[in-house]
Amino acid sequence: MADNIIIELKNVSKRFAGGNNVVDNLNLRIKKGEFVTLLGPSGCGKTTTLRMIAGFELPTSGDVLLNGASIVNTPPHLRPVNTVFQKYALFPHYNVFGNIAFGLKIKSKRLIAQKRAEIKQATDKTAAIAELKSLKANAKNEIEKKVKSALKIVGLSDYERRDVNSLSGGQQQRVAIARALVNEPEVLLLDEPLSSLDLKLRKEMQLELKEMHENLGITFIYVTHDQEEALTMSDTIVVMKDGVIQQVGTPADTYNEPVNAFVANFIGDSNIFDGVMPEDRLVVFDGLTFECADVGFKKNEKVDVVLRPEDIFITDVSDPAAQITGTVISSIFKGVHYEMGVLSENACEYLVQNTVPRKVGENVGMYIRPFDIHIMKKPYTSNIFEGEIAGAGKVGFGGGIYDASTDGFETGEKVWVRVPLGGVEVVDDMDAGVVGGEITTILFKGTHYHIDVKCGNFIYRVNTDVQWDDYDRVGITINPEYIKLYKTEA
Amino acid sequence: MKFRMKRSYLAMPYAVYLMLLIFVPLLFILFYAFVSDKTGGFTFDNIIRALSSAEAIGTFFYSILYGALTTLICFAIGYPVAYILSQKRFKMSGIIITLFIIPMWVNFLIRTLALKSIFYSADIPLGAGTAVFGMVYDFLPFMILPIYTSLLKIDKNLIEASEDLGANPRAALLKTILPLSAPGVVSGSLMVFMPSISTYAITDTLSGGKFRLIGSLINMSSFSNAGYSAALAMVMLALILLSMLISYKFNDKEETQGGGLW
Repeated sequence: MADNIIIELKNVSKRFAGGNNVVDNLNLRIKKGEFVTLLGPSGCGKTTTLRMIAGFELPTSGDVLLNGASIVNTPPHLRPVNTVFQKYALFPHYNVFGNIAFGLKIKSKRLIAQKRAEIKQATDKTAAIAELKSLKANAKNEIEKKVKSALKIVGLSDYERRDVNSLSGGQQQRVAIARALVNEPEVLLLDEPLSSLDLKLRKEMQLELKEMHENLGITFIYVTHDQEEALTMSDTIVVMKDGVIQQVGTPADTYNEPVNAFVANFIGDSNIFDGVMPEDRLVVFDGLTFECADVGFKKNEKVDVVLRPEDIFITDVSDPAAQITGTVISSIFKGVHYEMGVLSENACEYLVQNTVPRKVGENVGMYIRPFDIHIMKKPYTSNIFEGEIAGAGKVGFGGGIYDASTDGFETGEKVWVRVPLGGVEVVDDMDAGVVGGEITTILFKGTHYHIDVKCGNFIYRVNTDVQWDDYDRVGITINPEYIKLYKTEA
Repeated sequence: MKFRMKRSYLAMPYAVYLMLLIFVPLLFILFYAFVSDKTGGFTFDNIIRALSSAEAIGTFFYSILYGALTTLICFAIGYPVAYILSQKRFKMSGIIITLFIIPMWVNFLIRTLALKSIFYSADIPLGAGTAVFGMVYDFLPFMILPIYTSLLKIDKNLIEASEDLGANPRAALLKTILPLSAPGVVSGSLMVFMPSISTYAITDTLSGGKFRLIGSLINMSSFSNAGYSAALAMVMLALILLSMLISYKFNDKEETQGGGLW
């Protein structure tokens, strides 16, 4: 089992000089010949992970293994991996041939230098010299042959003499792929290689890359923030967020069985609601009780409920099968289906895909089959911080000092701080809050938004009615009555 | 007629300046180059002398030689400095760049005279060596700055790509960084080469009269033999135009990573 693992990341962490953990204790094993995609929003650490495999970044801690041997101290030029860069990074001072032959020429020079060193040591010099001569004679032909076949693989035959600046984006991308492939790497690393191409070309290249992977049998590690791309191409998807792996699985697994609300939201469209499990196979959300297929939760455990828009069926209000009734508030024609927003009686917004058009304002019924309701444990139900009493009525945690009731605690005492998701308030001005940060995640929960605000090394999780945008820079304040302190022993 | 301000009018002061102080004097030089000092009539003698006399050819030869030597030394010192300054890891680049520029705030004649005093007090005899030293000292910033800007413009991904393709740090420097910074090297070299072949203040002050470059020859003969001096100046101008044309050609090819000053 272990011998077909080609790349293994062991407890890898990366911290940049600013102090943030970009990658946090990452463990990942990649099988030989696999097409693995690191998927996540920008800033999730996927590119940093790739760069650590390529050798451009050193992990702060942990180990990177190639075929079971550590390569963490191997410089990039000695690693048998090649990278396709996001912005191609073609050498402007070489033509297409020169770009692709770059690696081969260096390799052949190294071989010739080695042979020369051997000649100095060899007893039978004539034989060694003859070998060197044939090596030199063949090198040029060999390189030319390999460049030609690499160009053929990427569909750019006869482009050798072209100036790279005269090529279109798609052609440049192909040259970049050929330049990496021609060195016959054990692992090909691709850092969002298609992100600057237009949609149609991107889709074509996705299929071509997938085909190349199947024909060449090389391990591909692919980085993207595009979930559709990941679903199309990968054998295995690694979903990352804030430097932590959320889920590793096949495209079908990550789509059908997302482990948490973040993965469900990131991969495919989905409705995510707060729910409660009163007992096995029963879930309450939107004020209604539904049958479901999930078991193994505590009584009345708070859960995230995920519904795919294609799993919600629209029917007439009078239909006895209708479980939810609501009003159509939007309807967009998407080609195969209509994408509709339906507001339920309890003011919860559903995203529904339906092939039959319904007018905006029309009352409809909806039903969901029990096995289409995905129940997920909540990774957290409130914010928990380690804190310290900073003085009477003052407590420090999460990168700031907040007003709170500190009765029964002494100054300097270490405490646990608990703040409910609804207790954190987000304000527009970064400097108006006790701490300032950036919004990293937004989940629409039908009736409200759940957002993560990253303030330095701390993440505040907030329920809010206000609609924010990704990467908005905001301030955090907390009403003292929501801050609950606990003794550390407890 | 109503006066309407056009943007091109803003160029007028400079155009006047250019005409009066550069273009007109150049016409005078051109005129004198073809006028005989003795008879005042039209002649090719000055030009022929400037192109064929042993004195002129020898001086041109030495000028080009010492100009090239100065350029080479400036490159050898300047490139590593510019490279180190362009590294992100190097935190003090701002301070160092300022240190290189500060001497330029002082008039170069004063700097050159100060250098001469230093040579005197250190008992170093003046000659070709001290003159080249002075030229390198005066012109070095003109080499560093263009190389520094062109190094800063290099896409770091290209350097990573070359390492990724198997280039060790030395090969990455020779096959990627050096060719990509070539436009900066060309501009820097011109910025050093052109003033070094034409300078006379530095060479006169620091060579102790032991050797002459073309600038000194023009300066000296302008008192005694204005036509000859003008002809020499025309030849030098042609030389400078030629080196600029060569650099234009070079910069055209390297359009992608401009570091050129023109």
